[in-house]
Amino acid sequence: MRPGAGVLRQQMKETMDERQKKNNTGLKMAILALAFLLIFAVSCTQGRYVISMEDFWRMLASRFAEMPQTWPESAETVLFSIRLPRVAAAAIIGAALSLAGVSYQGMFRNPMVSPDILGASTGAGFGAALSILLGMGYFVISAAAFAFGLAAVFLAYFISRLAKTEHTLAMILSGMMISSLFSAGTSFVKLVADTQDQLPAITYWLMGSLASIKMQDVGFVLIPVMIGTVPLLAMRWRMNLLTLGEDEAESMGINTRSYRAVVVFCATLLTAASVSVSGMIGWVGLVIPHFCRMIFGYDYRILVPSSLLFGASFLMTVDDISRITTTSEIPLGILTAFVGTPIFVYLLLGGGKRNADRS
Amino acid sequence: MPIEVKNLKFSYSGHDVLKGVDFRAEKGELVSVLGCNGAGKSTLFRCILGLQQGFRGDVNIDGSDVRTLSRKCLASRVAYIPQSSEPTFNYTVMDAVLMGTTGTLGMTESPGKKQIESARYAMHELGIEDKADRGVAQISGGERQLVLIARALAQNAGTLIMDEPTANLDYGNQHHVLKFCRRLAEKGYTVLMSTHNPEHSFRYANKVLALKNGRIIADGTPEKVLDESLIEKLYGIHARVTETVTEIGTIRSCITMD
Repeated sequence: MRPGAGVLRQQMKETMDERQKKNNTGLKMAILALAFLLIFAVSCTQGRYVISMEDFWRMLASRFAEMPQTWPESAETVLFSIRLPRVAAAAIIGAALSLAGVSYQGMFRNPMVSPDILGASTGAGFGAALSILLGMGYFVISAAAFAFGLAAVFLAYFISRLAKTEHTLAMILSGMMISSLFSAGTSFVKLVADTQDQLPAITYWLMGSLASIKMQDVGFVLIPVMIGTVPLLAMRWRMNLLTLGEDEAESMGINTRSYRAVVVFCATLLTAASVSVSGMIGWVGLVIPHFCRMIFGYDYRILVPSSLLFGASFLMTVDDISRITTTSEIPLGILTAFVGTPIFVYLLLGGGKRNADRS
Repeated sequence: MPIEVKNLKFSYSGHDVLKGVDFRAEKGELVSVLGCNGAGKSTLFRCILGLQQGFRGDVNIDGSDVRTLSRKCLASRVAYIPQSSEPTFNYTVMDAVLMGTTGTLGMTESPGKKQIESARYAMHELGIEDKADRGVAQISGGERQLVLIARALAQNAGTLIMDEPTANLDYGNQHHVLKFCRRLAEKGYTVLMSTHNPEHSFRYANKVLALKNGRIIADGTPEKVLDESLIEKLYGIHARVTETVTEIGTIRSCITMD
């Protein structure tokens, strides 16, 4: 055989492999996007009051174009004032928590990290508990949860900047400290709260629920989530370098300090905004990135968008289970753990190795 | 690109790590840095890479002070090759090598055609192009070290700083990796490499830099400076340097006598 022929064949095979790989990723992504749309549509139509698929699409379209009304008035009320806000909130929060999780995991170089690592959730929980204790209204509870979530993380972050130990380690340690401080605070609030109505309210809030979501809450959570998502999405290639560690990333021309600050800021915004309207929802930020890694590999260019879609689809599904299967809703924090724990155990026991070769 | 270090001093919380280091490394040289653990090798490398602030003296790469260069600019001149370790994040070899090109990209940019091309070239140079789609956790430790070297080549810097590139590698892989290092120096890269094995210096280096207690105690070709007394001074161990005549030339090696 001529020596050139083998090389040429090798090259042709390579380009074909590459094309196939790209197509695979593209195909998987398309399926994921389709699944997202399907779950969104099913979530909007199913429930105690069933809306037909046709009416649903017509009603959605009627918001953007002139349409003759062929659906009952009650369907419109259910869809736009109850179901759509709730489904949208589930999608936004699921996406936000997954993105926060995948970002923190990269930054801390540890795939077992969850979005509450720096105390965003416990801070928010304390803020909510405190404002319930003070007899505040729904909006103030959300706002306080958001503010305390942010405050907790920034406190942890600044303490870690003053520490002399390795930066990421200092951050994890001060996050743990702040977290336990705020959960102690929450316990204290529960202790002094009125056992007739305040204590149950606090307890239910902490368990996480989307039952009382209104359209204005969706707006409230959407703005910070957008602010947090856009930079992370735009800089997703660089996230790969953060997973390598400080010296390596710096030597490749990245200012890790400022980039890390951006990641902490964005991921915290995402977590605090989500938790402030939904209460504590665990597991999503931890488990969804793992799923995505198993399907798409480790490259953050694909991991970030797929986590957004997967997280949104996952939380919509879990919320559907919560509101459809039982008349008295099971709090989301409980359901996500029921679903998340077996998956996580499976991953821990070696299921994650399935992604051994992506070729 | 030449590295020039003049009267480099660095102390960390009252402890003098480097006490006045002077040396030059020229284009095409493979300089092997010897010294016991804690002699200051890593600190020296960190200074050259611009990762260590607060040192006194001068560190110039290609005539410019590293402290005046931006991160990006520094990355285009000097690349760092760490020890290969078990990776937590299982990137494909292609993605891992592509990361080296990040310095040429804007904040929100992802690697494009040009970057993929230079990554392919770098992988080709090290003979790992057939591994492009494998995960870095699935290849051998030796191959992983080659991936790290390929990443440095994709970074397109003229100076390569290697922190014990043969640590954690088996005997065969050590020589495989070092052969590539040698080849890179011959291609015109300036290679600065720390090693714990004097035999590696004999076999592959043009120049030996012996570091003890933050000072250079020997600087020259391995044949000239790397002898029994230097090994004794560096490691406190009695060794004998022997010569073996082989079909590829006379090769020096060390035998410990303690």
